[in-house]
Amino acid sequence: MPRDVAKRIATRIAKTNEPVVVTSRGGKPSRVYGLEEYQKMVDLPNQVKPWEHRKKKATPDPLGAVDADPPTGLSRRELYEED
Amino acid sequence: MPPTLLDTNVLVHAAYRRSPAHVPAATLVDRGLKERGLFCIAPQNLVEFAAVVTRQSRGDQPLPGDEVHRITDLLYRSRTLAKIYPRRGTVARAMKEGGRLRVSGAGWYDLFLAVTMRDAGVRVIITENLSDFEQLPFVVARRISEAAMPGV
Repeated sequence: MPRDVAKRIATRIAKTNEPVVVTSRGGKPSRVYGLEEYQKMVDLPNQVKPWEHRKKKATPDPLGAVDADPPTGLSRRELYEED
Repeated sequence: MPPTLLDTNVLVHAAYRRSPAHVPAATLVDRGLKERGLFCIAPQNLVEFAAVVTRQSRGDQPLPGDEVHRITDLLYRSRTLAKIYPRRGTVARAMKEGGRLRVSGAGWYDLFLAVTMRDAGVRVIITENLSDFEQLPFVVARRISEAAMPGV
C-alpha cells in the first residue's frame, strides 16, 4: 500500500474512529473516504439521475412542448370532421 | 433548392412531449427555426394546428388560448421558417385539379394545401399521413421519422 494512503487511513481513523472505504486506481489503493461519505457519493447519481437531464437536454424543444398526450386523429379527414 | 413543407401534424407532435413522434417532429421544427429556407409552412397549417390543439372532444387535452397564440406566433414570426401563401389563382387551380383527380370530402383540404405548395414551387411535404397525398401526383410525401434522420 502506498505510504500516503496508509497515512490518510490512519489519520482519518484517528480523527473519527469510523470505518473507512479505500478505492483503488489501477489496482492500487488510492482514495480514502468515510463510509457514510462514500455511500452518499455512490447514491447521488441515483437521486439526481443525470442521464435523464442529459436526455432532456439532447432533445430539442423549440415550441416549449406541454407534458401531455397529443390529440388523436390528425388526418384532415378527422381534423375537419364535425363533432 | 425549394423548402420542404412541414405538415400540421408535425407541429402538433412537436408541441406534445408524450407523442411518440415528439422527438423527430421537434427536431424538424427546431431545424426549421434555425436554418433559413430549409422548411416552410402555409397559413392553413397554423389554422389547422390551432383547431386541433384546442379541440375539446375525444378526451383530448386542449392547449389554452395563450399557449396556442405563443406557439403560432413563434412559427409565424420566424424569419428562418419560410411561409408560403395561396396565390390569386390557387383556388381555381385547386378546383380544376380536384375535378380531374376526383377528390372528395376532406381530401379537398389536402388538395388545397398541395396546390398552394405547387404554386409556391414546393414539392415535398413531411407528414404522418402519407396516404392522404398519394393521389396527388405533384406532391412527394415523406414520413416524419425518415425526414428527421441526421443528414437528411
